Amino acid sequence: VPENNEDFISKLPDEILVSILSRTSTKDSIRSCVLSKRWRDLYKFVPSVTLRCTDLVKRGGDHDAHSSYLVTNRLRNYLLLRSGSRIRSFSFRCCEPRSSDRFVSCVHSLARLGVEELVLHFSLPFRFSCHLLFEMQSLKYFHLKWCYLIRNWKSQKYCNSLQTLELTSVTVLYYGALDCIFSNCLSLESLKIEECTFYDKLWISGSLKSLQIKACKGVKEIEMGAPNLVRFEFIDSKLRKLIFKHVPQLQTIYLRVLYEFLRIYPIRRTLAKDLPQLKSLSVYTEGDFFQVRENKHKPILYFFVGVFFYFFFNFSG
Amino acid sequence: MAAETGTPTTLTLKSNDDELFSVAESAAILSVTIRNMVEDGCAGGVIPLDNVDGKTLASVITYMNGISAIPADEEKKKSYRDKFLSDKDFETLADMVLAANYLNMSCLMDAVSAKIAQVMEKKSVGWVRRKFGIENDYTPEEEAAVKEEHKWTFEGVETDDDN
Repeated sequence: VPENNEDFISKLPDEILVSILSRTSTKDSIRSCVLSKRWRDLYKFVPSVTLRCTDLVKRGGDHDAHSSYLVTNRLRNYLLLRSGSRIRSFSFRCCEPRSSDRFVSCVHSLARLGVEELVLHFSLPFRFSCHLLFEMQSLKYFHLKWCYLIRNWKSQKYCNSLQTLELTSVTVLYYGALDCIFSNCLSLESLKIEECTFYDKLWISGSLKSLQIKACKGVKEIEMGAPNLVRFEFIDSKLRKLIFKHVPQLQTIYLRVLYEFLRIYPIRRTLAKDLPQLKSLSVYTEGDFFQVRENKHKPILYFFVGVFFYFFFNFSG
Repeated sequence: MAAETGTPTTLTLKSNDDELFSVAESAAILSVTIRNMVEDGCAGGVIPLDNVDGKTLASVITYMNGISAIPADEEKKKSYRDKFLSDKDFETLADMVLAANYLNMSCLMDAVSAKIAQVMEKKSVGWVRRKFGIENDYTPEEEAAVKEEHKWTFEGVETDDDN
């Protein structure tokens, strides 16, 4: 851009300056407060914030760990400076936020700032207590990555706003950590779980409409009692048992499982009995694919490759 | 001067310094402001755009024609936008972003804002002040205090003689 020393920017209204700032990195946008008095508070109106721990505290040489205390402290100060303005979307990646207490106070700040979309990527030692979710009363979307999920029985709060939850590489440490989310997030519609580690049995309940479970270690059995569930997708190899306890609305099932599972599990009988609304069932196994369509209790089976006759005899037998 | 009845295929836009421009309706409706006028049937005759001068409007219309001639291909549209903005100075960019805001053209607004934002990337405060021609109205004490409050944002910034 050719240089022009006239203060061209002074003719732009604050609203446009904020729109310009929201296209810079969060760190660059904050630094603009030193430009002049007019710019002092403009960065506080940028609605989306993306920060990494390395933005807050520079790393030294190779693998020189930076102080996690300083990281959370600076994050907390920044959030305090923003009080009074809204942060709609907040994304934070941190390698080791060891000082959990300080991080909890950051979550309280985010709650006050009205955050609607939250992305938190940690590294494993961090323990995220599910009750923190219930502190954020405007949160609609939450993606949690790389941490331990723990429950907190003492919390009596509910979250009415959360609609979509994604858990990636999360280790659920106690039975009940997930139940605590199902029972306290009253509007949760979509749950996506990927590469997480659970106990061998998973109970699904609550207001869910869509559930996706992908490459999760350890899950052998899933029991579903979710009256609103419409879509269920499962991609894994270790599954042994599926119990459709109360899923009267379930319409679509997509399974990618071991052939072994199909042999031992009476899938057709279970489906006709427990899933009156089922419209589509897709099963992939060991590279093959077949589809069953339930239509008003008259199951029509579509087989695509000759090998599926083999399946057929197994199912009807 | 434009068509009086039915849906005109060409619209006439008037800048605030009374210049008239003809533009195809299909290109002009990139502006939500103009599209609303067309939909409300207010686009017969001349559309006055009180907040845009002739020079800027000519430039915006060049953009409208250029971008609407490209079929739905985001890559090509992006490279057209980059090329279109590459030779514009700050003064023009500021006028364009104001016009894009007034005309409610999000694609142009985004592109120009991003272009101006690029200037601030990892640059020292002194550099940005000089580029933007911003007068520093802080007293040295005030400036030091504001800097202290946001100290971490100065780490990893390109160094500058007056930063």
